[in-house]
Amino acid sequence: MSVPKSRLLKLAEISAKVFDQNFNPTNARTGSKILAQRLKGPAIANYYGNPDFIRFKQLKKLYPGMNFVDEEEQYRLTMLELRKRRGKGAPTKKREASGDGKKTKKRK
Amino acid sequence: MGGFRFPIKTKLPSTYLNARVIRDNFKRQQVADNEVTVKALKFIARNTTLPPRSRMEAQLQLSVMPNYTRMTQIKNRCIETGHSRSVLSDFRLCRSQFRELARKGDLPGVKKGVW
Amino acid sequence: MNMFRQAVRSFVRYQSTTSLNPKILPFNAKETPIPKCVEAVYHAPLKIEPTHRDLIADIQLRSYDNENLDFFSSFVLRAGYYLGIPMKGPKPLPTKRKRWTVIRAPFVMAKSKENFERHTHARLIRLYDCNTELVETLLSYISKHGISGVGIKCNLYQREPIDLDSKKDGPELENIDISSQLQGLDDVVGAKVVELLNNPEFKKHLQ
Repeated sequence: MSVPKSRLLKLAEISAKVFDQNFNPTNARTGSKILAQRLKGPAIANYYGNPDFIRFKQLKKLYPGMNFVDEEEQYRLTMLELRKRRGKGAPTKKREASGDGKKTKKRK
Repeated sequence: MGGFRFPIKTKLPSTYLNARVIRDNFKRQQVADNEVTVKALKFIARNTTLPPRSRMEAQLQLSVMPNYTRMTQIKNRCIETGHSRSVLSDFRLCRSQFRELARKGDLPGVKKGVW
Repeated sequence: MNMFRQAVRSFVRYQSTTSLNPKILPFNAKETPIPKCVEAVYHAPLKIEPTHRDLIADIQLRSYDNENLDFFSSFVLRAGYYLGIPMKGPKPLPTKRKRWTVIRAPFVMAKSKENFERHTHARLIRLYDCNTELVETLLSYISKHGISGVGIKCNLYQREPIDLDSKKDGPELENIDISSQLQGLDDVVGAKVVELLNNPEFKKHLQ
């Protein structure tokens, strides 16, 4: 028993209508592939987390009475102190007697 | 703070920061903002049922858009170190950070694999 | 970040009462008779047999730890029983094993690697023959008393009549019939396409 092609097409059209799908018998390129893809934007934008996540500075400002300690900053400061004692600290800035800085000299 | 280094001001992420992380974050925000426009233009450009001139116009507009609106400009980076290589996308961590945190037990459910 | 790490580490493992022997209760049952519903806690969860087998919803529970998962699924079953929902389950779904192999050293030495894995256990509980309000009550109850480390996902099934001659309300454009392509996609991209095509820049080509 053979079914004519036109009837099969009609069936496909109706089923596409019922299930809310695209009906494209000629396989024309309609770009529907692009519309069907999901939007990746929110996932991409949130990769680095919430930018409004509370920072240490804000925490101090919010609760001025509390004595918070930033462990990482504390560690950095102690290391700096140690380096300074060993004589490995940053060099002191040169002060010129004439008053005008390097920049003005260079410009001339 | 002086002028912002990128053409459009964006908030800094709250994770580890370095220049490359900030740049990547900026691109991510821009891609997310322009995603709908890019997709719509792509749809018009790829749709053969539309007149060729309008498709051409869409393609032109796509090519004029700045590079930071392109999806391919984005690179996954480690959120702890900013490293760009060997980043496990499940945890957004590079391999060394992943290993350290997994061994500490900070990643829920991750155990030493025995099989 | 460190605060969250500590929160992750404070992991509690709950013990199921069904594994305990009901005869060895923490008190003397003969002297102080306990209510039936309390005694039921020491047995496997009771279930109501579905009569119409009309699937309303299914609840998927997922966890990296199977003990907490079993405990919580029995909790869900008990809560459903006292709400009068016919349920089936918990059906164990295939455990997902995700594995990672990373180089041990931070620099070179690529021959020495370390393996990590994560097992995701899942249970499926099916709800039959009830209305959606009851399902919502159950869901809000179990999410209120949820355990940390056990995820809840619920699929609701709804039946709709088929309307053949409805929905001819795709986006409108004058010259070109693009509405059929955009139909059924009620999303922002479709709206943007229509907006762009209505722009004067594109409109001159559409004539």
